[in-house]
Parts: sequence; C-alpha cells; structure tokens
Amino acid sequence: MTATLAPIEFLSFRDLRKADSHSVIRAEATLSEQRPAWLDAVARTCASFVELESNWDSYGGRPVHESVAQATSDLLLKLARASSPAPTVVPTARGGIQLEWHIPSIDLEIAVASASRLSAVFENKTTGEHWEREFQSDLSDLVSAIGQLPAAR
Amino acid sequence: MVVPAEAGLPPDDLSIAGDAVLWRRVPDLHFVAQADGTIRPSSAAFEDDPDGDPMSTVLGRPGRDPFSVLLGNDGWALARVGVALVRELGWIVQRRPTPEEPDHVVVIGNKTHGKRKRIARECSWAIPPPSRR
Repeated sequence: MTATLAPIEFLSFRDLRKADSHSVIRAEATLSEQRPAWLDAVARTCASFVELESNWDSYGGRPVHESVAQATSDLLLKLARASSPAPTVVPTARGGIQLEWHIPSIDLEIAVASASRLSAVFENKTTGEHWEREFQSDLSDLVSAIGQLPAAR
Repeated sequence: MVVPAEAGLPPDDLSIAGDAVLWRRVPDLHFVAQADGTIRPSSAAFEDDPDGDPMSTVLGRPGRDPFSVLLGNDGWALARVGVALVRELGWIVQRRPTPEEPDHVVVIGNKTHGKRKRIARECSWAIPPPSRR
C-alpha cells in the first residue's frame, strides 16, 4: 500500500455534501469505522500547541504553526487504523509536532516539521528492523511501522 | 572506546570530565509515558535552539542544588545527561558562562532524530516530574 503526504485535505465533507448526499452518508460511515477513537482528542492537542507562547520551553521555543497542527492531524487520519494505539503528542522547539509510540518492543517517533517535511525513527526490537529517514511523498514505511503497533485495548 | 567528534566541530572542552553530568530542563509538554508506567523526556527535549544556538545545559557541579536550574518553572523536570554519552554520539561540549548561569555549557553537534532519541532513552532524572517525586 502506498500513501502520500500531499495533498493534505482529506476531510472536505462539505464538498462531498454538495455532490451527493447519499454517497456522503456512506463515506462518513466508512471513515467513522476506520478512524481511531482518539483522533479528535489528539487533533485538539495539536491545535492547542498553536497557542503556545514564544519561549515556552525556556530555550526560545516557538509556537506550533497552524499548518503543522493541521498536517499532523491529517497525517494521523491517513496512517492510523481504528485499532492503532494513541500516540503521545509533543511540540518541538522549532514549531513542529512530534508523535511518539513507545511500547516494550517498538519505538516509533514521527516529527512533522512543516506540512511538507516529515521524518521518523523506528525500531522493532523483536524483528530487528531499525531505520531513521525523511519522507517526501511515499509514506509506505510509516504505514508499515504503524501497522506493527499492537492494537489498542 | 573513544568516538571521534563529528567533522567540522570546534575543539571539545576536555576540562569537562567524561563522568561529569549536564542538566537540561524538560517542560511538562515533553513528558512521555512509557509502557511500564515510567515517564521519560521526549527526544524533542534535546534539540538545538530555534535561533541556531547549540543545545544549552548546565554543568551539574557536585554540591549544587539542581532545583536552582528549575527556578520559575513549576511542574517541569530536570534531565541528567552524562558527558561521556554526549561524546559517544560525536558531539562536543563547550563552556559558555553567562551572567545568570556561570555553569552554562553548550552541546555542539548534529542533533539527528536518532541521536536525540538515544539521549532521551539513556538520560536519567536529576529532578523527576512532579508526579514521580
């Protein structure tokens, strides 16, 4: 499966509604089944980082740009499965957002520096898979990494 | 094993011993819960400053109260990073005293995500998050 980073406007239900109300109902039902239950809470957390004050970390940290918060939420909607565990979400000093999953056998961290700049580190101690890389358009390694996370209980 | 510093870095300050420790403030937004219930800093807590200055730390001198580094930042924690680990990552340390902080030390080197993750995993708490004190 190949996923791509751009374009990042997957939730334009308003446009869908204009087109065909019956197909919208089907699309919403499908998305609702596939969306992780924690997605809205994580999106709110990302949005809250936009309100951070300058120097919020005492080292000159910048507030998160709105486009980064939106891109992070969009990315999660693309990558996460309904059963995926929730990430920890943290702001970065340069105005980005980092998503982290740390479970006994897997570490996954995804850094969203801007709407088009994405990097990640992944380690699966069980399989020995370990990589660190930047992503431009092909997100299939991220899809695979998130797929290796155990289902949320 | 001695790991050479990354190419192009200024000289390492060898007057700072390998067994010395550096303290780095960790805001509560950078607390990350682990599967075992413990909390560790996010790797995002170990970046260079946004203005390009290298990562700031305070040399943990014996006898100094680490809480003095956290003054005015209630609810935060203080990470303890060994100088030996910093050097193992190919980074160097340099004293840069300021009027407010005579023990100010900067850590110079390429803060790749993987190296920051290793710091986050291998550091310890000089002052743990409030919920763990």
